[in-house]
Amino acid sequence: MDMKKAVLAFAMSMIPVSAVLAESYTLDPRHTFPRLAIDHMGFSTVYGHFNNTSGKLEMDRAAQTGSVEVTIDASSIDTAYDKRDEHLRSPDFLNVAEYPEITFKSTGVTYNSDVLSSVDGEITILGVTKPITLTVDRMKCGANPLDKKDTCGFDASATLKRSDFGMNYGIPGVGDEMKLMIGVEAIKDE
Amino acid sequence: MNNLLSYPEVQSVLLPFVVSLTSGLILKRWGWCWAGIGVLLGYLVATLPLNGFQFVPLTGTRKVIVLALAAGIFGLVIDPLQLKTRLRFTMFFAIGALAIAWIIWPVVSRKETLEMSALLAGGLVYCGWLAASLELLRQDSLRVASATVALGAGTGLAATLGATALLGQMGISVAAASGACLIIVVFSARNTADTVLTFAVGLVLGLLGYVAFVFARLPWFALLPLALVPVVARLPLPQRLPRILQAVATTAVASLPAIVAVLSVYFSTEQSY
Repeated sequence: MDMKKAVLAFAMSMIPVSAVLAESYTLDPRHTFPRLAIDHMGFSTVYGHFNNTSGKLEMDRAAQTGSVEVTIDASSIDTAYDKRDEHLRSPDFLNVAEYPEITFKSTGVTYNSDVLSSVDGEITILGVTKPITLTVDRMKCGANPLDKKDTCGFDASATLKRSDFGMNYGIPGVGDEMKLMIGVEAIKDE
Repeated sequence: MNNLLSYPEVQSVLLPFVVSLTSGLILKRWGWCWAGIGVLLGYLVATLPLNGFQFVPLTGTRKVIVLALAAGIFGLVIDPLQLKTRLRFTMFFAIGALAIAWIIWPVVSRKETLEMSALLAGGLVYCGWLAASLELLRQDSLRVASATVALGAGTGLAATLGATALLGQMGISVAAASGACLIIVVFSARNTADTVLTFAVGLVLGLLGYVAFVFARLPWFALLPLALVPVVARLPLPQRLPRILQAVATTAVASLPAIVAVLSVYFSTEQSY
């Protein structure tokens, strides 16, 4: 073994096993829909979801590490009522002209045996970044029976206060507290 | 009390009206600056809570508040200099144009060149005009106050119908504060308006209208009649009318284009709340 090969072999041996085993996934926008629920004047809960979401998921279940990155197109808000959606896009709420994206970047993940139990990270809404912990309610990884592609999915949720992000309009009539739920499906990168 | 203040009618009409009236009556003793300061205070008292007293990140709406403060101070500084009308008009037009460019640039810079140019050009003309045009009414504070009542109400209602209640409330708060100013003007001998009223208040209303167009869904054609308010407010009225009737008549006439703007938004958007 010449010197160059020896150095290469040594360098290879220094790469953590987790990095080798980490699997990379791309979020499937057809099956990934962040949803939100918010109180409406104490009478009812209004539900909405975002139609356009993208992102990446990396996981090494053996090493119990991973990362999640989600980018939500704020203008794709859909509460099944166009007039309300227009209002939600305005500076009163999501201000999509100035802040077209809502982003989430994980800072750490917690596993319960070999499935995610929570994801810590930072969410940015209206240009304001706050820490958030998504509680993972369930998770499954395996081959999709239809297209045979390796797929991972999970449902996660968290509660946040919109006033923390400067979204003050309509409080308290329209609730300050907002439940964020996200069902994620991600397909393993080739 | 907090519960009471959460009502839009209290927050954007009653509160700015009372603050403008009270501060106007108090400041009146000190002379030239009272009218505009009263209106500006009424506007700020309504809008600062609406924005949660926050300035970070500096959104377009918050930039309007910052500019209102800056324009108010600028108005106080510039007033004693007794500059010529032409110079003041040019200066205020340029500041209005720069102000809207600062606000909308982060949004329009993401657009295609043609759309970006059109949005910028429209903003420069609209905001420049409204920041400067009330200067032409300077010799008659009654007309200036009537114009700001009409322009504020028109901008506010049109913005509300254009799907942004926040900017709508901000516009209506200017109308309410200007209404208080108009009442003081009616019962005072003073006749010349100050720069805070002509420039700062005009600038705020121009910015609110254009921001509602770019950041929300206020149709562009609603801005055209709104831009005519300062022109219509110049129309001559019989001088022999009692001052209170002059105020009513001027406000009614100045409100005509504002009403056209509001109706144009009403009929062009689906109103089915």
